[in-house]
Amino acid sequence: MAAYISMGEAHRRITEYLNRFSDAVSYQDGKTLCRLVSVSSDSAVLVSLAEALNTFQDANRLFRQSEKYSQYADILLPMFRALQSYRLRNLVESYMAFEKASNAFLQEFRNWESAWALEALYMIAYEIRILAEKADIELASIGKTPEKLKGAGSFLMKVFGVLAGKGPKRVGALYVTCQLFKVYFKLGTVHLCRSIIRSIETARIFDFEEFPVRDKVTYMYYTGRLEVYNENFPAADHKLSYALTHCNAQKEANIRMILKYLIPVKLSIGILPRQLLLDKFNLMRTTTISLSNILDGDMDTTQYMHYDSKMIKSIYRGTTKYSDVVLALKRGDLRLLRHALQEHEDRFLRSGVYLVLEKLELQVYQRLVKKIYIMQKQKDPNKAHQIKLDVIVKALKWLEIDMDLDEVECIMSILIYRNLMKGYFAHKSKVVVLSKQDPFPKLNGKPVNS
Amino acid sequence: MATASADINVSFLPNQMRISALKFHYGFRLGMATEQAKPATEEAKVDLFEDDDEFEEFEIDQEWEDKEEGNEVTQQWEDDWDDDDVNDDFSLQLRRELESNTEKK
Repeated sequence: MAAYISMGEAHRRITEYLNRFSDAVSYQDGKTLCRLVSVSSDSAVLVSLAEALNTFQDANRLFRQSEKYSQYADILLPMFRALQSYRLRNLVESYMAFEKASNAFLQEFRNWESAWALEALYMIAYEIRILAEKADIELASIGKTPEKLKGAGSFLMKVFGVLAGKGPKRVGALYVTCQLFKVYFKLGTVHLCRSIIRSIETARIFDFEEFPVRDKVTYMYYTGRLEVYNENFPAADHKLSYALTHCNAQKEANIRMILKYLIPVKLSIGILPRQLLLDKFNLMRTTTISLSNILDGDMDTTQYMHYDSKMIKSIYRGTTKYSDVVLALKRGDLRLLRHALQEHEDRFLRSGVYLVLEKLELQVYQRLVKKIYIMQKQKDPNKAHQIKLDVIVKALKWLEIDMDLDEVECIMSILIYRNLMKGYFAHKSKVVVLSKQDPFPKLNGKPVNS
Repeated sequence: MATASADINVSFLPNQMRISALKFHYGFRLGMATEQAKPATEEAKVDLFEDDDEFEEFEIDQEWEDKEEGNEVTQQWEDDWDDDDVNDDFSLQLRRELESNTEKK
């Protein structure tokens, strides 16, 4: 609710903001400038400015009065409109005004030689995405086509163009890239990431390691997810592991998201997470933390509850459901693997890891046959390398999987073909004859042959 | 990136799994290939605004000590799990099962 304020007070507040803004530019104070453009934040300065703008209708006049202010009119007039509309929850209007302000800001930024205003540009890049998302929700709710997030994507591409050249501003290119990834993943147009990635990864003028760690982690998370979709597991492993190693340990939700993709990737190359990793981010622990935070006070509980439920959702979708998959691999328990896949089918499909997990089936077959082999070896070492197919059929039947001899023969041929098993197949006598040397080659961090 | 072939081998899967896997696989590929994948159903339309796994924003001025060594989470992987131990419950049951069946023959 807007408090009533006098015309004089309104005038004072607006002039104060204008002075802060122009001082921040004159003194090249990026941090202050950053705070002054964060339209969707609830900062006291901006809330009180919005109240003043509601009272003092003709802000135009203030700009005309002094040249000190008028040079920023192209940025600040639409910025004021964006702020006012945002506080009145006219989100589409707010977005459109903010886009105008952002274009004007980018124009100025281009002319500034040093990179002092990068933080403010980051804030604009972040704000435009957030405002566009909110505007699109508003558009969808009144039955119109949501198109603002796409528009924000185009603006961010422009920003990327300004930063991606040579010079000191280049260090900011990765932040904008990450904002673009978030836009494209949300819109389902991830193929658009390709050209930016090429530009980041082929640029020899700039070493990737020189970007801020915050942006490197986010970048590796998103490109890692893309590699999962492309089924390029060694690359996905490299990128997601990088993100895991360098991620701020305090950001548990992010670590959980990295693990959500990294665990299936590791499994597919024959590497298992230790129980501790599966436990580390489980439901119990996080709930305890959240509850104690709420009890500690100083937090808007309703807002926090929302966050909390989101968090719990993300944990459910996170690591806990991988425990059965891991156990299935260790045991050679095909039934358990299929059960786990079926139980979480929706979520696995949604996140795109389903195909990765379903390919583990071959590794589970391998483990099962290996166990049978070891048992035979313990009983009679001389005959161990011959495994009768009907023994495997029996084992599968015990796991409630009905397969006839032909089907099992087919599976065994695939195992041999994919180099998960060394040996040959005696079709007539229905026996697999295993190699005496290393009959079950380990993956050793490489994906299964395709 | 995005050079992977468009085909997958799902032949070793049971029918019902095969269908859902293919549906997903090709659905996704098509989405990647077309500039503007128009949502066909209500559900897909909702999906346009969803990414369940959107990375949480790090604060713009947030920095942290970036250390590779001693980072607990990076050491929690094992690649030597595939041992010859068949004394776990599952293996014991499997052995009992296979032996009882052989005797019946």
